[in-house]
Amino acid sequence: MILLLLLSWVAFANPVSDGAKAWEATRGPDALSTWRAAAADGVPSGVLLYDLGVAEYRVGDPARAVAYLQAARRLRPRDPQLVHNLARARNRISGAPDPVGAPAGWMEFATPGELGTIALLLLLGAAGGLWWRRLRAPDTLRLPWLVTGAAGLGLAATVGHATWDLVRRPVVVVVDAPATARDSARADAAERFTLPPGSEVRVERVLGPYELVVTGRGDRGWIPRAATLYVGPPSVVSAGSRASG
Amino acid sequence: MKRFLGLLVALGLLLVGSPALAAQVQLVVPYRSLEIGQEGQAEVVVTNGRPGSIPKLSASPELQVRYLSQERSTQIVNFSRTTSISFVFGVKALKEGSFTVGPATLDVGGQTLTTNTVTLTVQAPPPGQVAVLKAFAKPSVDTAYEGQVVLYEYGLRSRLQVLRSSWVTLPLTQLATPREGQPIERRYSIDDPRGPIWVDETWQPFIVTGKKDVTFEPSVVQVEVPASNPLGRMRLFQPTQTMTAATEPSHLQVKPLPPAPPGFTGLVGDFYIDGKVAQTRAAVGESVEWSITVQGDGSLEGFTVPAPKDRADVRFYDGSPVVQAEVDADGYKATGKFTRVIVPTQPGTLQVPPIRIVTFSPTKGDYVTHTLKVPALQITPGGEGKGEVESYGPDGSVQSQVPKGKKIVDFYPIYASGRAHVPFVAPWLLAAALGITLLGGIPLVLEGYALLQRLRPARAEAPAQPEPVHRLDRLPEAPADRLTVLDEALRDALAQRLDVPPGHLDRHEAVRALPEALREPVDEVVRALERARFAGDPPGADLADRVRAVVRALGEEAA
Repeated sequence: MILLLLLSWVAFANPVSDGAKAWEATRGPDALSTWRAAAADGVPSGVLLYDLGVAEYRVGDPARAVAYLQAARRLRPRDPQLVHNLARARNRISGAPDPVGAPAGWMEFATPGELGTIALLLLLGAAGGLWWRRLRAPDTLRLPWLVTGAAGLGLAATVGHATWDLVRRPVVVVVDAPATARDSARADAAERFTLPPGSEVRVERVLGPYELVVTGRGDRGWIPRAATLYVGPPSVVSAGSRASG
Repeated sequence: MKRFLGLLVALGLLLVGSPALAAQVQLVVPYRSLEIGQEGQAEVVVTNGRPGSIPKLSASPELQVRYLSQERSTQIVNFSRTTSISFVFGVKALKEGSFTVGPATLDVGGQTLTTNTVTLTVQAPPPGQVAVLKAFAKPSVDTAYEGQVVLYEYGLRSRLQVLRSSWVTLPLTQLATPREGQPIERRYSIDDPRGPIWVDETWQPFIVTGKKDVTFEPSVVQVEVPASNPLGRMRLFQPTQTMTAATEPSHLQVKPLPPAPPGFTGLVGDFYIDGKVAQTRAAVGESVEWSITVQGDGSLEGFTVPAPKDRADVRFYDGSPVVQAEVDADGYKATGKFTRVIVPTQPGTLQVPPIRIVTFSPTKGDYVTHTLKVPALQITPGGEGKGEVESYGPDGSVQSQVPKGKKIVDFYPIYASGRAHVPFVAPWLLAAALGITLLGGIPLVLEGYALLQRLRPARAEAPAQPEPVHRLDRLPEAPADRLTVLDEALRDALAQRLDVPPGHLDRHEAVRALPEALREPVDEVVRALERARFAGDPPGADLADRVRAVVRALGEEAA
C-alpha cells in the first residue's frame, strides 16, 4: 500500500515543478495560476507557499508575497532563504503596523508537527518503559518513565494549545487595497484606522462579511473579509468561505 | 540564617539602590465648587522628596485654609521606588465668588518647589430643604468636535454615607471608549453646616465618533445607605435601606470637522509636539535616534508619525511607539513617545526634511500644523568606505562576514521541486497522543489495583477486639484504669445491643431504647459509673460485678 502511494506520488505531475517550469519560461501568470490552484486544492506545503510568495513579489505584489511567505514560515521556520525573502518583502510595505507575532515563541524555530512528534516519542517511550518494567523488571524504578511521560504530556499540551490558537485566530494579510477598520461590523460604522496592503493582522472574530482584527500594536477594528488573504491550514474562523488566491 | 541575611541585604539594596527620581509636587483638589460655609479637603502631594516642613498653602482671603494631617506611602514597582507624602488641608468657603487655591510652596532638599493652582467657585447655599441623595451626570463640555475626547462625569452627592451603589445606564451611541485612559473614581466628603456630604463620582472618557448631537438619557442609581434606626449601632450588622435616584438628561452638541487639509493625521485635541535628536554628528550607517513626543487632551489611537519620502542618502526606521493616557482632575491627558531612527547612507551634510503633523484644535476651531525640524547632521564616511561589510566578534576583532566576490542576494529564487501539499496531521497527532497516554496508563492502573488488593487482606487480618464481657475478666489494678475499662465495656455492650457504632452512641438515649426489664438496672449502673469516673464518688465494692452482670445480660439479649 505504502509502495503504491509512493509510486503514485512519483508518477503524477507535481504542481511545484510544473509551476517552476512555467515560471522559468514566462515569469508570468501561468506559474502563478498553477500554484494558486494547487494551494486551493489541499493544505499547501511550505515549498509551494514559498514559490507563490517569490512569484507574487516578482510580479509586483509585495502584500500577497508577505501573505504567502508568512504562511510558508509556519511550515519552514528555519529556511534562511524564506526568512530573508519575507524580510525583504516586508521592507517593501510602507505604513503598515508591526506584524503580529506567532502565538508562541518556539514557532519561530520549530513547527507544531516537529514538536508534536517529539512529544509523541516521549509518550511512546514512557508507555513502553512502564510496560517493560511491569513485564520484565518490576523491581526497577518507575519514576524515570513517569517523568518522561509528564514531559511528553506537557509538550503535547503546549503544542496543542499553540496550534489551536493558530487555527482559531489565524493571521491574515491585507491585500489589493487599504482596508478601513471600523467600530463595528457595519459599513456605516465609525472609522477607527486604515490598514495599508501588506498589513499582517490577527483575526479575533468573524461576523458575516466582516472580521475583527488586531494589529501588532494592539489596535482593534472590523474590516471586510474580502480585503484580506488567509493561507494556511484549515482555520476555524475562516473555514470554507475564503478564497486562497 | 544565611538565606535570611541574604534576603535582607537584597531588600536593602533594592530600597537603597533604586534610582533617585526628581521630586515633584502637586496640589490635588477633587472638587471645583463649594457652598458658603462648606469645607473640603485639599492635598499637597510630594513625590520622591522629603520636605523640611509643612508646605505653605496660599489661597484667596475669601477661603479659609487650615492644616489637618499628613500621610506617607511607598511603592516599589520594577525596582523603582516611589515615596509620596500627602499634606491634607481644609479649605472653607467664606464668600460667594470665584477664588484660587494655591500655589503651595515648600522646601525639598534645599530647593523651593511650587505647586499648581486650582480655581474654586463658591455659591450661596440653595434655599429650602437639602436633598438627601442627588445623582448627577453630564459631559465635561457642552460642545465638542467629532473625534474629540470628552469626559462624562457622573456620580452621587449624599447626606448619608453610601455603602453600595449600582448604576443602570442606557447604551451610549456615537461615543467610543478610548483604548488608553481608564475612567477614574473619586470618593471624598465635604463638611457642611447641615451635615457632611459624601461625594462618589466617576469621570469616564469618551471619543465622539459621530457627527450628530448626543443626548445622554437619565441614568438610574440604586444605593444602600445606613438605616435611621436608633439601635443600629448597637446591632451586629448595620441595618441599611435602599434609595433610588435618577440623573437629569444632558446634551452634547457635536460639530463636524471642517474640510481637512492635506496631511491631516486625525488627531483632534490640543497637542504639544516636540522632537529631539540624540546627536548631530554620525558616521555612515550609524543610527541617530529622533525622539518625538506628542502630548495633548485628545486620543492618540491609531496615530503614526507621517512617513518620510524615500531618499538615496538616508534611510528611516520607526520604532514601536509607547502611548499612555490618564484621566485626572484637569481632564484627559495622552502622551505618545515615538522613535524614528535616521541611518545616513552617504557622507556630507544631511538635511532631514521636517515632519509636519496636522491636528485639529477644538479650542481654536481650526487645523494646526506642528513642524518638527532636525538640525543638519554632519555625516562622516565611517567604516563603510572600505567597500566591505564589517562585523565585530565578541573579542572586538574585526572580521568580514561576507567573503569577497560573493554577491549579496536581494531576493532568493523559487524552489524548482518539492511537495506541493502536506497532510493536516493535527487531529491524528492528538488522537495518537491520547492513545499512547492511555496505553502507558494501563500498567499504572494495574499496579494501583494490585496495591489495593495487597492492602485489603491486611485490613481483614487486623486483630479483632475481644467481646465486652471477656474484657472484664482481668481488670487493671489502678482505680482510674479500672473504671475506664468498665465504662468502655459497658459502652461497647450497649452499642452491640443496639447495633450502632460505639462512637455514635448517646448512652442515655441507648438506655431509653432498651427493653423495660433491662432499662432500670442498666441505667443505675451507667449513672454509678459516671458518678465514679467524673464526680469522684466512691465506686463501691460491687460496681465491677454489677457491670459484669449488666454486660452479660446485654450480650444475651443481643444474641
